[in-house]
Amino acid sequence: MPRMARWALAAGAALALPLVAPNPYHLDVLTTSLLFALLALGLNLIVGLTGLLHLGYAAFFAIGAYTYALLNLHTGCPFWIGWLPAALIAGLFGVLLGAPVLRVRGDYLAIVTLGFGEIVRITFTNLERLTGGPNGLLGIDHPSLWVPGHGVVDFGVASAPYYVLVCFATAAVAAACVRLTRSPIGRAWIAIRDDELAAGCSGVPVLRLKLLAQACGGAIAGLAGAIFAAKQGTITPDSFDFVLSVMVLAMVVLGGMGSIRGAIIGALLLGSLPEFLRGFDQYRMLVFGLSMIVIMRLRPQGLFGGAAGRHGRVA
Amino acid sequence: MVAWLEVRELTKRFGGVTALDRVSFDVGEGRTVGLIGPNGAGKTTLFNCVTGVARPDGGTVRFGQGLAHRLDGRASHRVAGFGIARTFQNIRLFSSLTVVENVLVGASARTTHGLAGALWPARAARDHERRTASRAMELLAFLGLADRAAAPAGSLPFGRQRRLEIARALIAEPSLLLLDEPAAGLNPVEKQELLGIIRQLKSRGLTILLIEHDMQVVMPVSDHVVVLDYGKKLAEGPPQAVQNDPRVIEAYLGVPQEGR
Repeated sequence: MPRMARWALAAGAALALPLVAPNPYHLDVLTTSLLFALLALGLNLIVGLTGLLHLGYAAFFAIGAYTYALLNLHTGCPFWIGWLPAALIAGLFGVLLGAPVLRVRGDYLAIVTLGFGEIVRITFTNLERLTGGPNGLLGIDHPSLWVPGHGVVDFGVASAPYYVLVCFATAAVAAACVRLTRSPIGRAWIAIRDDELAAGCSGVPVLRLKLLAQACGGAIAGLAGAIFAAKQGTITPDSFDFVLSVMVLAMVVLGGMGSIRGAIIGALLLGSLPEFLRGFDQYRMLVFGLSMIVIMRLRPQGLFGGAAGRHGRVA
Repeated sequence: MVAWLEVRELTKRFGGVTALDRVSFDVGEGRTVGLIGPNGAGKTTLFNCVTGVARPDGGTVRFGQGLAHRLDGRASHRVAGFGIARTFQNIRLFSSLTVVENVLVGASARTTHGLAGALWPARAARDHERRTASRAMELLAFLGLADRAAAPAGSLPFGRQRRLEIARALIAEPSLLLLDEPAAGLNPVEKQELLGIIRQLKSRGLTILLIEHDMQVVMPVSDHVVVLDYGKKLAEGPPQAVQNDPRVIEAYLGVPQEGR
């Protein structure tokens, strides 16, 4: 299967990278970009496939991060267990937000989700006794792993272990997304995006599937949040602001709405571009913005959007 | 004749406009009923009230064996679940899905949308998907679209898009099919092909409710015709009788003194 071989090759190359190029700074940039890729994959389900414009996606990331952090600080729950409730609770918030909100559409939905994102951030800022307020939470445990011959190794502040962890997470989430898009669920999501009314009349339970998209997208962001909290050891509310939501949205749009490859490539590109552009010094963000405009001007459908993103498949 | 769809006193208002004004009629099992009337008569609104797209302000719609199911005010996917499929006057395909995928979405009422099942499909689900896909291909062959199965739906020419809508409706194996102006925009050859398709569906015993402007389409296939005008039922009866009804002629052609 050449397709499988390609994937295996990509995975092998990605995992071998720390051995070839062990520069911790580069690995760190890549790790951050891959965390963005996780977020973009999740948002892609909501915005790209189902067509629900969501401007508060960072809130799910925050909920995941705080869930793991609080669990870890209060119960000592290790990362390898803590990521699961982080993902589940973020997914649950996707449903809780969605249930009242998904009856509004288009621009209105965008405004409501924007409000949701802000409310979550402001809540974490002000629930000082629980979340430490603007100072955030400190001393969150890094993941540790038992390695044969070395005993229990703490990930600490090293770069490579997190890089490998995020690689695995991204691969697993991407694989799940591929499966989803090829299932009747993915088909129904796209049907809702293309024509909600016709989807309903074709028997698609529109509201339920919108909630499912929000739940899945939220859970993926929750997982990313848990990894982020475990990697940083410290989280503050200002890591989860509106700009983050917009960045992730830009990654999805740049990659091509609905495309899984697009979400990953878009995130790697936008996540690492500011670092590549360090040479431009104070003009860095200017060049960054310009390159985004140029890309969208040349490929308005995104890098892998349109026909390139989804090949016709007869099941 | 057993009523399969019963519309009673159906009323729908949009602000000050009464789009449907206490409309009542029956569709008998296995029959083809034509729904005609001038533009703006409320035909599509009636379809919308039957299929859960619009919520009627009054009246009831009952459907099925013993008229056991109330349709009015239900969500459209529930109506679809009862075995009712429809097409749209202004074509509403899923333009970024392929032709065959469009048809597969039509089977959604009989498909489970479980998350676990999507991530780890059980053998039964895979078999179901495979059977649905092969039935979709049969339908595409029936409607002359098999050669374009893998093409994006948006790339089809207009006449074939209309037929794709019919395929998407048929895969649900409906027991009532609602066709909203299926001949609109078709050339004479395509209209004849459409007539052939409707006749075949009729001969299989499918109950059909058909909105159509084109008398050459609606008259030959309908067993019964209901005429709407300004939201009210103007007349109903066998096609010949309705066609010669002076009120119907007036509604369509207008009478100069009334300035229509």
